[in-house]
Amino acid sequence: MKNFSDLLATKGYLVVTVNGVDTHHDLHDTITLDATVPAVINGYEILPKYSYLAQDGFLTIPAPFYSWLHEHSGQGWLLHPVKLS
Amino acid sequence: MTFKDSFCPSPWFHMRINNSGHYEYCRWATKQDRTSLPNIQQQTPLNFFQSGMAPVREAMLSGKPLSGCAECYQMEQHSKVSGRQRQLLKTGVRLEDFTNGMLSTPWINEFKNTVTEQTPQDWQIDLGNYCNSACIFCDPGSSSRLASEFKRIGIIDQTPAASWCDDPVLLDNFIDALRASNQIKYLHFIGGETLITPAFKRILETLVEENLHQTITIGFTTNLTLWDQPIVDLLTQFEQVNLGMSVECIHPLNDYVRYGGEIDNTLKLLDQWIAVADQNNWLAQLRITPTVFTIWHLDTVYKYAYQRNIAVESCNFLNEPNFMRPSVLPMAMRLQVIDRLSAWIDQHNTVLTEQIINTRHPAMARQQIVQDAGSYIHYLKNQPDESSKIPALVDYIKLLESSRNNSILQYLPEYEELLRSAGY
Repeated sequence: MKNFSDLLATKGYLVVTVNGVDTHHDLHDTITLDATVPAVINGYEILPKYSYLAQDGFLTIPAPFYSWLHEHSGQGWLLHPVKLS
Repeated sequence: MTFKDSFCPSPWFHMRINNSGHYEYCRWATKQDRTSLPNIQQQTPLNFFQSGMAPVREAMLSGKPLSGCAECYQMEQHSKVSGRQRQLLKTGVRLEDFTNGMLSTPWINEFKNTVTEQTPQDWQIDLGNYCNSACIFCDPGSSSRLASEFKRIGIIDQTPAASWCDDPVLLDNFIDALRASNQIKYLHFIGGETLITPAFKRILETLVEENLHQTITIGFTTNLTLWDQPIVDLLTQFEQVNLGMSVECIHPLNDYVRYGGEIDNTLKLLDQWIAVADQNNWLAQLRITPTVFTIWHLDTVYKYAYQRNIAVESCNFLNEPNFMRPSVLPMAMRLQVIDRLSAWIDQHNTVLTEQIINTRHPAMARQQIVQDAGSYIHYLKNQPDESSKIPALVDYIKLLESSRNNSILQYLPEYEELLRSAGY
């Protein structure tokens, strides 16, 4: 990948691994997991690490996953562009 | 160089005004050519940010490494957390998952614009060279005391022009730009010494008057030579404060290098600032600039910070003056520093599972310190030898010492053979 155009032409995805089984998702999919089962997303441990965020036995990760991960893994500020009218 | 290795999002949310009032696109940009971009007298800050920085954004999108970004690339070579990594993290991107992070960032559509309607969210404001210290690695543009001394001993003919923020019109223009920036998150001030710079207090007062203190984080660095209670009182009103305290080593050598300081007073003020930071939940850091001299006692800073759970940060690996770089130290002496740092790291059995980019995370301070020490070990092992610059170093310190009536050997007798061999 040499430039921004190459980046935009690339397809990103999430690999959700539960019980050794991989499922593929779009980067902007909301992910819902059974909070009692260990889960890994793109190599990042999600359960049981973040099981304290679960409700009613499920952990729901609102899209995009990487913004959620940023917030919950203590990465500091996540700046957003200002919405211009 | 790949896109992943060169791209930085900083130009889309950050800019700098340097001590002479010239704009810069980044707080980490190299110090050469610091007057090539427009000045606050010629162009408003927002105009520079929105349009003037378009070429930098174009270069970023095309994957062209910028020469001004060299210090970040060097830091990454030595596993030191770079400014680029810190700025990427503010957009939710980590290098180990660059592609997915970029495609998920809230900035992905904004990156398509090289001319932007955004306003800066993260500013660095250099307030001029008012300074009561004369650090040996500093320059006249950043220290009025050093400027006077350089003129007296013939290193420069003229002291730098007055700071841009001494001009009430320019300062008002700047404050207007702050008012017009509708989403400022962070303002970082450096000097000179911020506490003795009149504009620092004036800007803080204005931000409080405008109620901007409830949403803005203030960052500043102080040289640990003085205390100003009215400014401390102002700072306590802000949403958050990132406090940087400059110290090179917990050793009398600090007095030689940070000339104007006195180590007992430095440590007393350090304790005083840390107490205020603790009381107000500020994020405190020790700010270091390791040189060929202070690298020898660098372990003392890490020990001090580790005991107190305070992060340690240096902006870069010192580049200028080039004879002051730690890489000027010959390998035989570097190995002694490496051994001390390695022994200290080994004592703490700290496991680093991944690189800590958010170096301000209070819970990660100790791991961050060990990580930073590791980057200096990597630098000392791998940075090419520059001991050919020792004669230039000796010439420089002899000139300074003739003015200051001191001697490096009073503070660092371990360097006698090295310096004598080059004419000291």
